[in-house]
Amino acid sequence: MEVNVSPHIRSDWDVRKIMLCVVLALIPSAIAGVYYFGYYALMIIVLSILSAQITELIGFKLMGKPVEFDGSAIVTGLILALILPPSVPLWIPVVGSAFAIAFFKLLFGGLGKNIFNPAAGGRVFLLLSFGAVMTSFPAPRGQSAAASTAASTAATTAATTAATTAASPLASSAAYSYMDLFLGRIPGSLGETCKLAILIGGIILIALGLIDYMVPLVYALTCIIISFAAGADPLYHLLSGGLLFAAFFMATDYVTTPITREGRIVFAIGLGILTMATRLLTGVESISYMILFMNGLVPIIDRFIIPRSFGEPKKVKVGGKKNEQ
Amino acid sequence: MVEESLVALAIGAVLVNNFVFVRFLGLCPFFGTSNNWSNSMGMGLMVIFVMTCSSVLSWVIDAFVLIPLDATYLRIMVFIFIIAVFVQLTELIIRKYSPSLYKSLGIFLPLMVVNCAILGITLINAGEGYAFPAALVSGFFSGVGFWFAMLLMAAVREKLELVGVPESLRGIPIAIVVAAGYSMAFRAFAGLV
Amino acid sequence: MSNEKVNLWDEFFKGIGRMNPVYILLLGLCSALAITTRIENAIVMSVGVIFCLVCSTVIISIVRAVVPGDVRIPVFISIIAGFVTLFGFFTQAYLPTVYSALGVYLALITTNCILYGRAEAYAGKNPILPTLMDGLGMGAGYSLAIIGIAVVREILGFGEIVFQDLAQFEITVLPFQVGILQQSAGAYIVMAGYLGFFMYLSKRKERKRKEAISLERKRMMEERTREVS
Repeated sequence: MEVNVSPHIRSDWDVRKIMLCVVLALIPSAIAGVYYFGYYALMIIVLSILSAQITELIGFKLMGKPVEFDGSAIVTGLILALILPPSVPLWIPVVGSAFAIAFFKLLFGGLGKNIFNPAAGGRVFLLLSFGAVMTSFPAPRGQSAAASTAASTAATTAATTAATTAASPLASSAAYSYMDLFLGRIPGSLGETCKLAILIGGIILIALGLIDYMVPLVYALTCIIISFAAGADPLYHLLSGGLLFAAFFMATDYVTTPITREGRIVFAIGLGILTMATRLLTGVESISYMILFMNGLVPIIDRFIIPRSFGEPKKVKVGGKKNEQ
Repeated sequence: MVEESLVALAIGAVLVNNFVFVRFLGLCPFFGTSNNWSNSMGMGLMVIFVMTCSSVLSWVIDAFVLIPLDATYLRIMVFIFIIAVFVQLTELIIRKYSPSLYKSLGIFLPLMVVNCAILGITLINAGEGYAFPAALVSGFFSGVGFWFAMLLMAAVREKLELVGVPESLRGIPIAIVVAAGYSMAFRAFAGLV
Repeated sequence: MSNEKVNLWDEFFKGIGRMNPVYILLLGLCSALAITTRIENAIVMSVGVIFCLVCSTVIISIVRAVVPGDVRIPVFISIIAGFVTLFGFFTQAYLPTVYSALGVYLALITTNCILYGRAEAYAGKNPILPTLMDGLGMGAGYSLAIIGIAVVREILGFGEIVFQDLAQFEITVLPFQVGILQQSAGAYIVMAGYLGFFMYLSKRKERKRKEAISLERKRMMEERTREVS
């Protein structure tokens, strides 16, 4: 039985067009990363994409499948590169992308069949495997002097808390102005620091009708409400770490999020609660883990939130449901 | 303070030290029955029940018999015996008084004796030297963690049945791949408690 | 007589190959995943499982006639638990580092599905000698499986091989570590790799057998048509 898990994807060409648009939306973040962290960042991006695409081609060959080029591996490679620290050794993106594609995508049978977001999985794999290089963040170009001393202390604390992700400026709050946070003059992952670029990309995706604006909106609102209730600075939390990037580019992935809109809202709320809970309770950033965890909850969410009616373009009959007598 | 540490213990038992994804206990029944939602539900609920009761029973025996007699080295034998007897008694009672309950949940009972999660929790409780409330909480919430893991896996596996998993990975191998994913995700909770 | 001998060897080798407890029957997964961070731990665990498996299956196959069906489970499991306790004493006394590393999993040999499964499926029905060979074979298959996992996890995960109790040495093998293999997720990853590999092998074998059968059938058909004509 052929079941199309991703509701929007109808043909090969559609997939390619969608992937092209997603790449387009990610380009502002990539440019910002290269601007702030230099050509080394560009090398990371290129290697990550190449590794992802080559792994996918080899995988198709090994599995005896027709070799198809739908661009989804490029998106995975690009997203993974953008959530890596910009100072990682160059073998990190190669290994990470290869693992992300092979383990989190090909083993499940390829695009549309994976349970977990491959890019998030790749990052978590790298974090757990090579904690030391994955948790040190260099200062970006144009960082103010006061901020960079704070950053270096942040980096040292990050290095000592191995295996968990002490991302970006979470460790030292006072050092950065909102403007620094918004424009990306902070240490952090390659494409996660410049919120302006992320917003541009997000708006492109929403304008093209490729993602549901409710997901980032609900996610951000949940985080704002929780940080407000906990007495933390909501705007600061919104603009730091990988929150916005995850909101637009990872929490909206078709394949690994619920099929119904209600389900996606539940997904976004859950992600927000978990993000803020780990930030506030442990002081470290672990959005990739939480994406992975919520991806794992999706089959249960889909089970309990049933599409209201069939035939509507966005609501497709669920494959995983069986009528229970 | 006591309540706080009990809450921490509960969260720890469900998320941080999840029996399936972190501690590797009870995997045979886990992979054996998680291919089906209703079986998983039954198995999971039964584990919660048996785990809680065995934790209580073994704590009582440990505190009032084994420790006073200085015979803690007998724990393995005594605990497994308690579990086996308790399970067999429960089976008899359910079969006699509620055949319908027996039909839906009782069939999982005999498997409990060889479920290493059950013996595991009694030995872990004893080894940690928990007081009675802690032993109760740890037993109950470890069971909840197991049940939660069962449901996660069952939902995923029913979905996976319909998609094109490569032939040599179908069934349990892909379930282990999924478990690896969950295991990675659960690492995020490591710092929580 | 010679026929029986062949059967005994078969009892032994089936545990290593076609009925490997870990990779084919999927028994004993908990310990295969939990204690395989170090090769040394895996070796001691294997010895423990073989010892308890062989002793308890032999005893069970002796007493099986006098144990009534209703109390079968408690009796079998108490016998197993007795041997596990004995092995625990031994390890605690002579291999203290491994003992603390194995922790609760050593005690949980009691509920290791391999032991109980063999007690229930085999020792309860068969005489002593085949039971012994079956136990040894299953134990050997289990040992190979978990040591195989431990080799990958220790070498890649720590980049070194460390023995503290059985022998005392430390060898640095690799200049890097893949930290995830020290953790629970890594155990699942290695396990999935081995399982997929063995499933692939057995599927290929089956396919070849089917091809051979269809080839044979074709030949017979051809012969028959030739005969008819």
